[in-house]
Amino acid sequence: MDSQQAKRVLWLYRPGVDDADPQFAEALAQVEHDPDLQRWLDEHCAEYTALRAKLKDIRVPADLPDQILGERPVDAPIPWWRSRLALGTAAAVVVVLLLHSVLFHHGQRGHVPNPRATFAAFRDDMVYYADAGYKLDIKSFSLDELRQVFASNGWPSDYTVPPGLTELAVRGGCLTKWNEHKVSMLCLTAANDHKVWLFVVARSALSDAPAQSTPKIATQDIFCTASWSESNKTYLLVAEGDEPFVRSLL
Amino acid sequence: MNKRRENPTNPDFEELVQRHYRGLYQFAFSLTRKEAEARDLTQQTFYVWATKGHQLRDASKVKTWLFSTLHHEFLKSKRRQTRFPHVDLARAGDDMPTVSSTIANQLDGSTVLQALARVEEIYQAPLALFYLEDYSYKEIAEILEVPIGTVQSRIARGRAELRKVLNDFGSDGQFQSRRGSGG
Repeated sequence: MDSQQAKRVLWLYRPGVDDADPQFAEALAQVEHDPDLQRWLDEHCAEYTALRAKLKDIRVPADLPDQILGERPVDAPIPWWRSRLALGTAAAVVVVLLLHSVLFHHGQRGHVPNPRATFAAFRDDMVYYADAGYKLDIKSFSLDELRQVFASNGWPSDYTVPPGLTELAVRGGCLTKWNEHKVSMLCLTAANDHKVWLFVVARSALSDAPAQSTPKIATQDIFCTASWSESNKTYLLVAEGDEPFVRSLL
Repeated sequence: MNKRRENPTNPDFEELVQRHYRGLYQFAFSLTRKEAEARDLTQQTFYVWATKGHQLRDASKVKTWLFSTLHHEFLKSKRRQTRFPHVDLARAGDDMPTVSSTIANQLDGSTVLQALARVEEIYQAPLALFYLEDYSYKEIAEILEVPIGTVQSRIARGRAELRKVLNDFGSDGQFQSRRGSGG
């Protein structure tokens, strides 16, 4: 290895970080016998160290940890409510958490509602919503109770739940809006720990709502979706999993 | 069945925040150069952890997972901003530094960030991780989800661009108009 080759290798070398990385060993050994290369490396390391220090100096807001901890999403799945004891009594427990403020905040979490009323935009936004994290407005493990809360708040509630979903553990739900249209969101977990969400919106909210009652399957990032329309409602099922898994839920 | 709270390998949420928020915020800020966006990205990353972190089986990968998630969220927000462009009027015309030094050691952090912003976008995240964190190249590749050879070549080219930009930092405290790979 000559001096130029060593420089090309050491261009990526970071003092104190890459010392044990074998890809730099030969070039570093070369430095010991080459004073010019040594000077070049010293300059290289000084520049790296200076720029690193500048970037490490980025001021971090002191209140950031409190903000993160204060706005931690509420986890619906808490082990105790899966216990046999709780199953007998907790079925009636429905907690609506700061409904108005949560609804207000849904639109502020970096998520800009899509002004296009197409089904593709709806699907994009709902997948993003499920993926990006949310606070459950309703904590319940009962589909019936979810429906009651949706109904009492004027959200879509006369929906039909696919048979496969009735076998899953219910975590709760959200009352959200898309382009000012109310969307009921049911959050469930399958036995394989995969999350599943069912979104229900008025068919009229979409300019090109799925015409078929037969679900149409599609994949999006790590998610698989199924969509269909029935009577005056459009359904979007989003799941962490593949097509066979989604089909097993319908 | 959900195992999130029963998995002893998963660190406590508060402990996780305390351990990693600084590095994540600095990485986010190096990508966005805006406090509000860096805050949102950092917070969003912990949101995603709270809802999906239990899927991570290898506790030793938590930090890598967080940085990878932040980068993923950054790319998603960029895609969204492309669809819904946002103009921050208060900052319009405010992206040129006004410091007088041209020597790397004497540049302040914000000038280095401005310089980083001027290198080609594809090099910015690898460079930020190269300088900010002690990740191996293999770990940087995992975070950015690209092959290690690609990471090394992007960092090598990105460093060259960054040096050009810093060299172009004139005595009047202004960057020259050349951008990206120009040169």
